[in-house]
Amino acid sequence: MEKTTAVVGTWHGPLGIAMNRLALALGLLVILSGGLFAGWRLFGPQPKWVPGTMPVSPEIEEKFGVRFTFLAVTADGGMVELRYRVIDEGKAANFGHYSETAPLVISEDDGKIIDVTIMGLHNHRVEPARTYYVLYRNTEGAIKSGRPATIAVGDLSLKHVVSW
Amino acid sequence: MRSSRLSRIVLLLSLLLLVVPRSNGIVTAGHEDMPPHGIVCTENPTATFTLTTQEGTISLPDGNRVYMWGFSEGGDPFQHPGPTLCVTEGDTVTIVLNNTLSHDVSIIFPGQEGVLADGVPSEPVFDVGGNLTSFAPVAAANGGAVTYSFVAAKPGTYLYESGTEPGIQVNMGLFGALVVRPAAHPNWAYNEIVASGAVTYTTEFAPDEEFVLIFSEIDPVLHMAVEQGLPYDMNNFTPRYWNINGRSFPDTIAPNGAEWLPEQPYGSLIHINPYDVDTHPYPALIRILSVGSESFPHHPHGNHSRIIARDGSVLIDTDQSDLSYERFTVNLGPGQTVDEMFAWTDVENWHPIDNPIPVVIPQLQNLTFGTFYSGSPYLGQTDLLPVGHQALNSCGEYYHIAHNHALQQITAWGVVLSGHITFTRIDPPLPNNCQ
Ligand SMILES: [Cu+2]
Repeated sequence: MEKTTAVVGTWHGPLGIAMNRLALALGLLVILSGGLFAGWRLFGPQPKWVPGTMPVSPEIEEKFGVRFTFLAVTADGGMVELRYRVIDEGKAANFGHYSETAPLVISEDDGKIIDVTIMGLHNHRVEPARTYYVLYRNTEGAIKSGRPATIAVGDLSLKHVVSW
Repeated sequence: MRSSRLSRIVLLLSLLLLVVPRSNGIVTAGHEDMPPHGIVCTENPTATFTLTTQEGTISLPDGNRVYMWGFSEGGDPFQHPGPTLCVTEGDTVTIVLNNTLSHDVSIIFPGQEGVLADGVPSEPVFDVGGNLTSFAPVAAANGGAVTYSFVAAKPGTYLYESGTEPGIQVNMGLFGALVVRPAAHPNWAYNEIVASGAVTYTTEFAPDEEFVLIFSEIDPVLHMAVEQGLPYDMNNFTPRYWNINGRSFPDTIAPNGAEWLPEQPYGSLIHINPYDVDTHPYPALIRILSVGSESFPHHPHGNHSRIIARDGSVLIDTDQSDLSYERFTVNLGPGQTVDEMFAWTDVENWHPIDNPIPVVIPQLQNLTFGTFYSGSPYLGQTDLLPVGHQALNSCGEYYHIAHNHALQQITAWGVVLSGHITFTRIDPPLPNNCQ
């Protein structure tokens, strides 16, 4: 009985390159780049937060009649400003007046909350399409420029807002 | 080999550091070199500036945008107000005005003497019928130019503004501040040494606590008419917005160069440290200017400030005696400039242990807590607050509102708490843990 020995042959591709070596190189490349990618994700910059990013919450608009438009760190880091536009003056009439209708801002980095307001643009009635602001104390520098935050109002919230 | 790998690691680390967000706020491209607060000088060794008129819009905190005209340095994009030009006493100041607008424009320099326009005295211009058409020779509409020059003879705070159709053009934004510094003492507001009784003092200020506040007003109906090329009757002039450095509160307290205000680079937060005889002996210098059409009674809360000069003239008598005065409210007339010095002083050295404030604190149920309160009345201290009341301060700093006492001028189209409001922020003595 003749032994058939599987000969580990070298198959040369059309360009004469040893394809198994090519496969090895490709595999190494995939592993290396995968490692680099993982390392980049772990140690590189976190998701690129774009300052001024303001998502939209249909639930908040439906319930409170306002659309948040702006979040910024101001007064050399001592205060935070939040703006909203009134889209339904009936629903927005009591916005900010009670703890159930007052927005607060939470840092997504460490959960620090700011909820102490200093002043806001106000009138006896809110007007449609007008923008109003609320100023907060930036307690312990909780909110930082270019970092994500959540705006919470009542039982609703708007995530991944990026402060100016 | 090893060193090259090391250098690659270093390079990688430094690249990573580059993408770490900076803590000093988000700044408009081109404005990275601005300090977060305080005066932003446009200056150069030859005191030669090119001011180009531009059109643009500014943002107001009620969500409105208003069409404006402005002066920008060289080829810079539209900004409001014009750049703060800083020169030194004795400089020959040259200002080339390039006009891109569809109206003739000129510049006048109140307080400067011997101003030349294209080399001849800058004088009012009349039409063939003898009607005054401009307070100074113009750069003609759509591409005209004129060069003004003068010797900045006297230190002080001055306006530069349009001298053509000034009722319209100044309201449209064609104005800025001119600061002339003493040649021998750049950190003094004025050269004079003032005698106050037996004491003499100078107007030396803390160089990192110099501020410019230009008060203005806007009638958006005028701006709409100008934008649309429609006539406007100045008898109907009705301001709806009031700006400090081209911004309405709360934009006034945003940093210089804030990225969300690319056309309005100048903040007006007065951010200072307390007086200390050793570490912080000089006061802040606040240069206040008005281009409004009526008086603006500006009132900074807290200590009174000392008015040391008006319209670029130091308040000193012929015998060098002191004519400066403290004021609760600085009443700013149209076109006026006022320089005030302000030091926040812990007058009675209150301290929770060494020198407590002699007040028996009522029971908690009988107290309400103001939103500015840190839990402690002592600068730099924070203390417990009732349950449910968030600890307030970042570092025990104080904020004093500073606002126009004509309360209709702290509104934005009728809604209160905007307009002519800014804040004075006093940090605890250094070193502190302020953000
Ligand atoms: Cu007041």
